[in-house]
Amino acid sequence: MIAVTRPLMILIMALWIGGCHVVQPQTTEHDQTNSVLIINSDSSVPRYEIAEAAFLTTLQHPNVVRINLQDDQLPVETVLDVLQQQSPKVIYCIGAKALGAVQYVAPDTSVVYSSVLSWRQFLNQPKYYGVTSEIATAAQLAWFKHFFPKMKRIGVLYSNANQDLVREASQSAQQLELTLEYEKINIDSARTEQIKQLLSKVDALWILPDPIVLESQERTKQLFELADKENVAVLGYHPVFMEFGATLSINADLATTGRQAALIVQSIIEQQQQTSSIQFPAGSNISLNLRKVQDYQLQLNPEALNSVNELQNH
Amino acid sequence: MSLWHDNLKFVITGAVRLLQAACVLLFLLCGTTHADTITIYHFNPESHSDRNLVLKNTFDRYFQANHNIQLQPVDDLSSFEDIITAGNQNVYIMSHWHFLQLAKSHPNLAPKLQGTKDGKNTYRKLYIGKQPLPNGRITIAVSGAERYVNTILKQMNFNESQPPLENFRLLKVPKDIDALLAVSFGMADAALASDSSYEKLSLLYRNEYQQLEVLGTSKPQQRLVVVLMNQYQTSLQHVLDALETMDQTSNGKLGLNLLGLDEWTRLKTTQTQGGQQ
Repeated sequence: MIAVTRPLMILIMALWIGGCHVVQPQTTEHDQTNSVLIINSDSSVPRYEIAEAAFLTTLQHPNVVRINLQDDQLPVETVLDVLQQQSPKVIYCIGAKALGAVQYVAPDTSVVYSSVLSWRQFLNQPKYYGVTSEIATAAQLAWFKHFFPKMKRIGVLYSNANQDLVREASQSAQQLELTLEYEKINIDSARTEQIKQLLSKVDALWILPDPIVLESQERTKQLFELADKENVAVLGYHPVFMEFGATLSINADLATTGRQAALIVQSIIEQQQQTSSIQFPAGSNISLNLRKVQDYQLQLNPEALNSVNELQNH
Repeated sequence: MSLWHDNLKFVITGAVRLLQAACVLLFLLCGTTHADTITIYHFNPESHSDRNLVLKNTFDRYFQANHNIQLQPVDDLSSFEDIITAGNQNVYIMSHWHFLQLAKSHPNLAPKLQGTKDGKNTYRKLYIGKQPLPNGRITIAVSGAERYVNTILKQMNFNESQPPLENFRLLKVPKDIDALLAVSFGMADAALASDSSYEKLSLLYRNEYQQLEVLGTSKPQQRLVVVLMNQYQTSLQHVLDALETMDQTSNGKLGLNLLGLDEWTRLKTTQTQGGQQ
């Protein structure tokens, strides 16, 4: 029995050493202060892994230390352990768990983050620089108009949380010669009637990341069903909405997000002044459902097709 | 638990890579995936490779109707060049820039069809920025492979007011319109984009367009070409015919639009020698 378990234990130990969470390169005293620490909330999540891979390819830094917080119940302690051995110049956090783990333990270190939905709460935090999860609303509207030039009136449902966003979007829409029709939704409001009323006066319904409008899967499904019944196209910001029946979705390209984060890190290392603490994703990944385009008799600009990444139902 | 997952992932990744290598080898050995199926390999260093799936699905849907042909987009430049070097009976859709690079080492390679858009077979790349460009290292948003981008930037005719491009970093984005919007929304200082994308932005977003300035213009760039080895001209003529008639069906048109083209036009014999036009 012992003869069997001993090699197994050695193998497990070898795997443990080889596959350790923290990939710690050999560093000199000087290198340690110039290292870049990557903290990934969960490397097994493809969207995080894509961002990390693109970040590493773009950064080309000789001294990178990586932490994977997948299944880690004590993420703050894990990060502290690494920070005791390393003094990274910059920390790149992928996902909210990673950012949460460094929030109070590295006050003097520059932090770059991506894939964090609650990015607004870090906007005014000194030395924090991020890339948002959604394409800029103005850019989304520009894409909508590019795909459907005849579309004039776009409806949007929002709650208190997105009041400023809708105001800004309305100005951008004007510049694009679009009219934004908006309807505010409260938790206790007569939601179905409000949605129907909005759908009756628009060419398309634009989904925003709104915690009240997209309160639950059931509510989201109902919203898409009502729009379909009224032959109104739904325009989204995440690929998941294509499964609900969206016609077009302008999603952030995850690899570009990682590349943007790498360029921010590079400029911090080179001590360049940062013009902004937050960037919108510069790359788009576009999904289009051609069946819906036909069903709703939308006039699709064929010129836009060479921007499509995913074509459904053709 | 996570360590176990990491190790398992490492083993699986290794196995997948081995399988991928075996597949590439199989392609190189066989040339085609099926005895009778002709493969059109596609790689375009001027655009992003994450659209390979949509291109394959659309082209294959067109070919499936009447032809025994398939499209096989290739992820990277070196794998594509390896396939060409193997010299099998295949057809290739590639950028004219890439063809000129390969023509020296592959004298038998000849372009037979060329893509056109609005009746033109050329376009220009523009270097566009929002003035004043910052001092120090600037960020240029670009789509396409780095080798291609660097060639274009080196050959570009810059405005007199434009300081020499010496200190820059590239932000790779999927599309030319992304590159332009990146400048508009402050993610990049300048962009390299086609003249048609710049025109699209002018129609789309007049305010943003007015704030951008063309700081440099490339020489005319030839559009995509369909290439094959001269010795296979007769046996692959049916593939060229199938491509040439793509604009006559809705599925074919969709495939062309996905490549940013209206149609394929046949190149004259004189045009196929060395690719210079």
